[in-house]
Amino acid sequence: MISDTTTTPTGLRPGGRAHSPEQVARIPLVGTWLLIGADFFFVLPLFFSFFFLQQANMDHMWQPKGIHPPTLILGTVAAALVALAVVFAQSGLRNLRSQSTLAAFTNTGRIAAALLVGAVIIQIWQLSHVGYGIDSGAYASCFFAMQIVMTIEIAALSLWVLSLANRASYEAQHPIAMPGLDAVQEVATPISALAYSYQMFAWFVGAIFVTAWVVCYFL
Amino acid sequence: MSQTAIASGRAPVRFSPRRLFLTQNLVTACIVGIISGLVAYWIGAQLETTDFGDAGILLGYLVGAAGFLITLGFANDLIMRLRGRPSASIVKEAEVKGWTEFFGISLDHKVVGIQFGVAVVLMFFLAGFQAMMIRTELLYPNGGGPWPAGQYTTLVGLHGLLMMFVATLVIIGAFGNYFIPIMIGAKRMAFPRLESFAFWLVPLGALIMYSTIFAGFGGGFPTGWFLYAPLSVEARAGMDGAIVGFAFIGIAAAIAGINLLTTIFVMRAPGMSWSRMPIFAWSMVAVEFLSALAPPVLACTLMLVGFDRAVHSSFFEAAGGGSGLLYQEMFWFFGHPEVYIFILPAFGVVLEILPVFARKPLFGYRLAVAGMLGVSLMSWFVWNHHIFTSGIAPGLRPFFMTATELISIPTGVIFLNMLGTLWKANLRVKLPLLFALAVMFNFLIGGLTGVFLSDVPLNVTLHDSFFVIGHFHYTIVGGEIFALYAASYFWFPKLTGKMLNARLGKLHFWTAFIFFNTTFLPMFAAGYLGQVRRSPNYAFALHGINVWITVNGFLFGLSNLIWLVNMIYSWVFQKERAPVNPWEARSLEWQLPTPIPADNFPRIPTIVSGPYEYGDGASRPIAEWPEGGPVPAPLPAV
Repeated sequence: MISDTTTTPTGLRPGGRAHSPEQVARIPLVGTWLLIGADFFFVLPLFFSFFFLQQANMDHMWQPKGIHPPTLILGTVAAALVALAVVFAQSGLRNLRSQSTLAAFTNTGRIAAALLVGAVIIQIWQLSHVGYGIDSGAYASCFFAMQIVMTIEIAALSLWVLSLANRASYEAQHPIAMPGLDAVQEVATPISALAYSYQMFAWFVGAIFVTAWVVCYFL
Repeated sequence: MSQTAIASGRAPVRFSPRRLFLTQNLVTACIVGIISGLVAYWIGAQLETTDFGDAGILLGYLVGAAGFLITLGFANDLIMRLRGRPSASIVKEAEVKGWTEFFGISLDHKVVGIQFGVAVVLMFFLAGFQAMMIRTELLYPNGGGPWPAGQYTTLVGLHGLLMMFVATLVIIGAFGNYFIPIMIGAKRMAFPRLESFAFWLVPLGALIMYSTIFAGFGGGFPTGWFLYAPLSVEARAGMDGAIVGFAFIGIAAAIAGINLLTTIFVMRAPGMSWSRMPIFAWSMVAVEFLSALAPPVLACTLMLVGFDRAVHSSFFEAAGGGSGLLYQEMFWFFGHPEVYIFILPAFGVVLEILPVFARKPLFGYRLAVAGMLGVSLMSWFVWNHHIFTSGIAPGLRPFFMTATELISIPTGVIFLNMLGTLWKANLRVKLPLLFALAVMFNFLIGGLTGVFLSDVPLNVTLHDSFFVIGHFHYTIVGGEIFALYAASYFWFPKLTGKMLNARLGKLHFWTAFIFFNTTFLPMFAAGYLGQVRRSPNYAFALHGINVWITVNGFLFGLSNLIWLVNMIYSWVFQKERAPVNPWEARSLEWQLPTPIPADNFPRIPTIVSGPYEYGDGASRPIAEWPEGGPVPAPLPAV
């Protein structure tokens, strides 16, 4: 019926009793790409609301008198911390395919998590000292909603990198054995695959955080 | 205890109060969910900023839901991962536990598929009952029926929202989760815990939405299923439950989308190339891109409505600088792809069924794939046709009108695939085929009236009229729900090991098909004559047509009871077991024994030919089974 020249997923094990390690490793990678897509569409309405309401400026209530972007310092420090954490974790993550670098990443990952937690604390401080509330007109609503969502994303990112650091620490002491060719049990998802997924998501969150920073403070 | 549980050699689960109240199960989850929800409500009430107590109610719903899900066990694996431990083996956890696995977290996609199926069918009948209540009200002109206007709008909203839950998840959740891994030769879903999480959000969302009918939870909501702002911002507290419930369904749909797509992309068996994939799996690819990406827009939009309600932000209230039009833009950016989330799986079901009963290859397989992907892609560019009358820039109308009319091209291609498959076929006229043919007939009317409605002048004239009600019921009920019937008659033998009773099935088919059409076809006339939706008032001149619609609507409702009785009777009381492959179909799920083993394939097969090579005596079996694999069913007759 159909001539078949297309490729099939790599690393398949015909007749195997479990999915192959290569397939197991690809699951978080593909899943993370889709997660990034879903997250992009989740934050999209925030940016759309910002520009829509700014242009509409209903009843001159976009920025009523006294409402303006907050001081640049805290937002910039938070954005810098996030960027630093994302970049800082990259070098360690890139090397996670080798067992000897697992222990080294434990500290790198925990420092990255600490930087992200620092950014979360600064965000919370900023939101509680901005001088106006979410109910102070359209700009304030957009600013608060965007920053709240970004803060939650950074908090999630810090937990993710912390889990990677802890996994590296665990795996450095308890190497995970590769199952035999005819094993019934699947191999646990390798840390290198999880690390790559984290890298992709971290770049994405870093990018939207910086974009939100530009939008909220400069536009 | 089930046969598979006996086969696994595990002892039966005995009742024990300690086990019931001190472990993670549905009972403890409900208790913790209710208590944590009440505590959060009380805390939120102390911080109250609005007249209706929205902050407390929203906080109560969210914390209660989190308490429920955590106690059910969804945080266990996350905590393990946070501690750095590798995730527990999925294969080990997927062992059969007996009937109790239907009431907790299951990592077996077949269990989750049945959970989805049973839950969504129950919701379908509940929402259908509300449709009967709506029609009862419309027996009387000028709002003279049993329900006052305020309750009527809540009825319409509950019916609409619950049917959205049903339409979004009934084929994807039940048949997608159950059959897709098997059809592509996978042993499991890519993210089994997420799959179960998506399921549990559904009953949770439905319960939260239904709680709004009680006075203590706000006494209903007046917005219909659109939840249009600013009414949804200003309405009474019942709105909070509608927002949270709808958002949960959006999240569940997005998770299901990510999960099914990853499964199809990564976990196909050797030889299961893109061009050998069953067309139902392709329909899932087309729809899950929408399902993964569109509902997050809804979730964020509803979050902003919640902000407006609970903390007086100004996204949708003009007094604070917001705009109601902003809500409509964002809602329909989600809402129109959502329409194709309903119908694309129905196309997949019909295209899957037709070759089996036509005993011919699927006509234009690649074109059908292109058609479904085309619909999926184009559905992102048509949303503004829902708001032609809402004050959008007039210059935008021609673009969205043209884009909407263009989408009928890939849809027409899919229709040609269906017709080409039937052309000169020696049809085996069985119930799944009858319902598949009914889908084609019904959706043709629904689709063509959609082309009318995309036209700006007609759209403006018929906006919010019963013409629109007739149109979307023809697409969603006539298209998707009839496809659900077809899928249920087709796959029931593999799901349960029993055939659905054919005599009851034929009675169901003819009553459903006739009374569906006699109910919804007159709605086009009622709309054209000026009857508007979501209002119990209409001109006395339309009384006769409304009585006709109501009587036929009740008869259509009764036809669904025949379907329900048939499923219960056949599943529970019928003794005779169905053949392993009663339709002599080629696709992979029919080659497995019934019930399907817990891990689907003891050994992963190699796919060596396509699923629709009917009518070719020289065609090879679809797969080569390794030694130790399942005993394949007899080869289908040519």
